[in-house]
Amino acid sequence: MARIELDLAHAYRANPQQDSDYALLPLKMTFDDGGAYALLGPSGCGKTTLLNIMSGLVTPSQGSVRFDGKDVTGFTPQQRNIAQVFQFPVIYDTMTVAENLAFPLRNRKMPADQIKQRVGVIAEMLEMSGQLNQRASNLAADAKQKISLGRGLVRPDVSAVLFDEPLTVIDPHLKWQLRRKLKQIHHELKLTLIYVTHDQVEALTFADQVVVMTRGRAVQVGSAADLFERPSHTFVGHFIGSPGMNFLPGSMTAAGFHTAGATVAAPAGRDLSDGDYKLGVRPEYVSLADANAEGALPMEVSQVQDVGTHVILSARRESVTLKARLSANTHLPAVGDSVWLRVMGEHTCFYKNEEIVA
Amino acid sequence: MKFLIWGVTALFAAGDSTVIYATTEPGEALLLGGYTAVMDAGELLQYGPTAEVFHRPASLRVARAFSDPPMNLLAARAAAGGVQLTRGPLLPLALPSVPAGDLTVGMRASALRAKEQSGDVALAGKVELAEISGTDTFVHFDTALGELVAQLTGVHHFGLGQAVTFYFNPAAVYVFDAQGMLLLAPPRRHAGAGGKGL
Repeated sequence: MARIELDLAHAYRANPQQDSDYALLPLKMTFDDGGAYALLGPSGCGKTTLLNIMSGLVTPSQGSVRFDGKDVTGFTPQQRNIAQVFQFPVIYDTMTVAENLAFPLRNRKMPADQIKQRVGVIAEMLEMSGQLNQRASNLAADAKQKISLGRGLVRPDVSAVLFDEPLTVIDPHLKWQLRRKLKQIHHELKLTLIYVTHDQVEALTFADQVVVMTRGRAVQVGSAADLFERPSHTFVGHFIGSPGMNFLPGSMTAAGFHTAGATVAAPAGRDLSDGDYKLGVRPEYVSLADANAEGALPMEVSQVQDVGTHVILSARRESVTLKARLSANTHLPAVGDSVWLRVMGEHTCFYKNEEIVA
Repeated sequence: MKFLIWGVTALFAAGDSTVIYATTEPGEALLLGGYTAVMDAGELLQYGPTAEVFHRPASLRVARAFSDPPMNLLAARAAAGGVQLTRGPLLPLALPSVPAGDLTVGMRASALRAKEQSGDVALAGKVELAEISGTDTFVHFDTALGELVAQLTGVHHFGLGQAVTFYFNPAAVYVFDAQGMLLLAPPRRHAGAGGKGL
């Protein structure tokens, strides 16, 4: 097990000149020993490149990878002692479940009695004890992927276990059970686990710390609560939550924040000089207010969607649209009604050049 | 997916086209609004305005297909004073008739809450996993009545195996008869409001 330190950048082409030439823009990051991390972002954001740089499948075009302070940039995955689990099952069809799980240990010449014990522990965790002597070829896709997970987790001495979207082939109703297994296994085995996904539920559920990535840049590293409550970049506000955070462009003056043709008083205790900002507020924190209430904007209701457990109200004024997530129990306005919506509060954030400033 | 669906909803709302959208995701059907036909094994189970089908599923099969997370289902029987949950408390509910045989009580994950309100019934258990979407936390927990899921707004952390108690108002449950047909649904508090169709 190891503490992983990255100080690097990567371009797949020679002589990168501009940001778009990089798969990964220069970054500095530390993954603590025994932590559970997720790399989260849309396709093409650089998360798999970052994972493959950690495992040693890709060598960064500049900078270094250190494990416990030691430079391993030129090391192979074997030399780094990394286990990696991929999107699709990587197993031997001709072997039994037990032989598949034992394979990484046999290769490392572990004594037979220890192998048996370790395979037993992992099979038990994955609820595969009853299938140990079955041929892997006869198993369903999700059982095969469970074996792949087991093969990744079976070696007790790995520096880290890396997962590249490992639940892609798993049936939706089984997913939560495997997420639970992974969480439990992390608790019991105390391995350093790094998990790549584009699924926000998977990332937020699995990891203690989530690295949100977009366009080759890590824009925030934080807990689920950090990403939800205080997105440090507008991308995180959009990407986390459904619907994502509302952003209202406007300008701060002595009178307050001017947006959508109105001026609202800024929340107390925010250190904001005059100038242009984007106000960010999550639909969960927008509420219906009385006319002329402090911190509220007058708007016109454009849509009311009953989404079952709650209601999404959309409202508009000038070019600004705002969504509010309201309880189904509230008395709801109808489309075309004028309403006041509170946008200022302790959860309201302010952004400049897409970065949070207050 | 989530970005696509929010965009598609806006697109449909603006146009005059007839749109038919096939999906396995209840959330997508709800966002699109309009009308929903619930199908299972080649059979049309129920058709109607989307919100109505969601809030008044005619049968257990519809409720199962049109709930995400899955509706919590609890075994029960009719009893004096209401509906008796098997290995659980009595729910003071007035059924339209006293049905013979086993009943199923259905409870949406969002009907469970962490803070008790007056008249609530408590369910204690141990956390299996808390799934965090950002907007919601889905707490799967194991109780004497079976495995249940609660939906809480926002980000909440629960340890695996942590002891928890969630609460629900008995008026928020569905009751299905021995044939799986709807006997009782929670009252709609904002019936008639809002929702413009496609």
